[in-house]
Amino acid sequence: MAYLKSPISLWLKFALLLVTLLSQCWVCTGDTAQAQLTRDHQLLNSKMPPGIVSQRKLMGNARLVGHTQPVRIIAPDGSRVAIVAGGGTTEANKSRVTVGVQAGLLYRFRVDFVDIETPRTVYPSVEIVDRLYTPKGLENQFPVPVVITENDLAQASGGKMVTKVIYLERSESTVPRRPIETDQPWFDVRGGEDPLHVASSLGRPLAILRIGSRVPTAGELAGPSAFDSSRPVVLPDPVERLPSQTIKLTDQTR
Amino acid sequence: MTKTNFATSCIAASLVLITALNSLPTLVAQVLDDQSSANVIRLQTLPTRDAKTMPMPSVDGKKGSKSELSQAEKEFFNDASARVAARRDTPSGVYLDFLGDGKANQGFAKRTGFAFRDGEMENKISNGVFPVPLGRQLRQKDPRYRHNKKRLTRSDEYIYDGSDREARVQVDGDWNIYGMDTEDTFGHFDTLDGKRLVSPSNRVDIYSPRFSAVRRVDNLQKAEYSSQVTQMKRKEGTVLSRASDASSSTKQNVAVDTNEATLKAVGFRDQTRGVLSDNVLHLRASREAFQPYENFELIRWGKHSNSETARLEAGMQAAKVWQDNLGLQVFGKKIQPIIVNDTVALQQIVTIETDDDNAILRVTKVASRIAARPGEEVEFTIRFDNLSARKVGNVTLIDNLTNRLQYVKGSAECSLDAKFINTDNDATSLTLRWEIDKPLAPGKGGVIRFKCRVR
Repeated sequence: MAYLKSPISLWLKFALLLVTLLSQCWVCTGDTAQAQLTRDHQLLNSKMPPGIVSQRKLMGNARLVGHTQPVRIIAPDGSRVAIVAGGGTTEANKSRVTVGVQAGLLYRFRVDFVDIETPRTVYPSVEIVDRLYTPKGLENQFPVPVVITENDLAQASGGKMVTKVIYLERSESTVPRRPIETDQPWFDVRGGEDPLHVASSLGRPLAILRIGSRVPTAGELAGPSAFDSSRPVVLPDPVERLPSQTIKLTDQTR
Repeated sequence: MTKTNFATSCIAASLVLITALNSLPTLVAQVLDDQSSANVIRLQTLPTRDAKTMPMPSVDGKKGSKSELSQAEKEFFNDASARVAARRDTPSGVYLDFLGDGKANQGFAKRTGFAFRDGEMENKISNGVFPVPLGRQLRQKDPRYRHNKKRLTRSDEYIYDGSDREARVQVDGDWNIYGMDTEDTFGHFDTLDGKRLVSPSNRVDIYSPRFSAVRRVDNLQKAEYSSQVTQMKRKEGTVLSRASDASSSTKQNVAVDTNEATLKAVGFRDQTRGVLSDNVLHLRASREAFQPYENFELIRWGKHSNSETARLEAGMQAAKVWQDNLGLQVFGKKIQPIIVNDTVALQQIVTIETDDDNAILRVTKVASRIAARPGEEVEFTIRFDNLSARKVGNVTLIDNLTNRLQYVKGSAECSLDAKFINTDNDATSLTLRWEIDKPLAPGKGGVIRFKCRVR
């Protein structure tokens, strides 16, 4: 048994002791490390000033650079939507308008509506935080729908600030609903929750809509960057496609 | 003992111990297998087809295309039937009753209902079925074949239908279906040598994003008081952030000053003056029996022509942003797969005749649209072909629709006599099932068509 007193046996004992200590450390620190990994920390939130989230996303996503994303502003029937850019507003004659916007910029619109016999005007802003990857040639047929409901306008005209995050649903977890353009499902987050974070947990956030009640002054609108907004590209509306006609199948196979 | 010898002996002893521990499960499995083999009756290979007395059916189906069996085939099957009947008396009960007395499924077992089961099927010989899905068979031979799950990436903007997703689909001897997920489209069939095989289709991708919104309403006065907006602005330092970040200037998009696209569109309308307005009407119907989107030789005749490569590939273009290697593949047994976007100049596949026992049911699926909005209808066409040299029976096609697709009632049709059954599935949609009445002769195929509404 002389070899047990040799230096190599000491090395073996030392190695066994080291392995034991490391395993104990791993067991003891496992729960703590797991708790740290599950802690949620979000760099972006919807309380940031308009346009900041979009700029941060632009810096982190190379596919947003130079991409023009079609967005369709859908206001309630009877209202009118105009584009605020270049020191003025475009002619407002429709309740829906399709535009192409880019990440990193802030776009502002003017919505004229009637709130219980009182004509009112709000200036909602839209910024995009992500894009769609539509098949080539169909980009204009699948814009991101930014739906402004009557409730949104009523809340904004009542002096409140409405922040709405439009997100892309996951196809596997969607529930059936009516295929109506103005019927975009939405819900209010609970107190303390951020709609951008909630939308991230449910899908992929694409755009942030903010509606307040403040009306810009004439000086603010007259500048080249009216009310801190950029000029979008006006796009044609998506084409309504007719259902195809059914033809009975006959035995044409061999 | 010297130090070197001691260290060497320690290493050698460790290696021996590790090897023994690794081989222990294998040894145990072998022992168990040897013990169980005493009660298991192994299947034997059926007699080989004699090419002189039983000529192969021709490509166009003129010879051997009838559903009745020829005299040589009857002798061939009766010989096998005698051996199967002998096995049927054994306690373990092997083999399907593939030469039963059913007239509708001559030569194959009768269908006795079906059920969907969770989990994996028990792979025991008493079922009388050997679940060897086609996709798995092919994957083992050549990794370039389709249904390799690692290559089928997914995007949240698409609706997928087809292929064998997640768990592997298996069908046992009692017609129980295991491992069926939503989106799965497959066909299962019985072979004359007693196998019940599963053959998944290709996957169809339809671009159809859907959107929702999350809202928060703040009262500005309360928000300003509680969150101290003024201090937040100083802490945020937005101006300093822009100035210090050098990369922001390189990626910053520039707003457009003019809108040339609108001006072009107006000019184009003035030039047409309504004379050619009839040309912009969308095609609503065609006089041919096949719809324009399914006017492929692959769908019409079950043959692939290289001249249709571009059109077949069009349906896959959209998804290539996310998945580079995906493409519609046309393949046959032991034949190198032809990827339609390949540069190999193969002109045409006429037919595939094999003389071994492996059976292949090719299931190809196409959709009328590559993109659809909620509320629009999409028409699906499934073409199935028997690529093997023998008849296959109890051919059953199943499409488990996803939650985004709603079956349009009364739209299902099949070119062959079939029984159509639809049942509710877990995804609040339907599972469509076609049970083809008659066995499918070699080289024969059929077409299934149905409509779904995107929701």
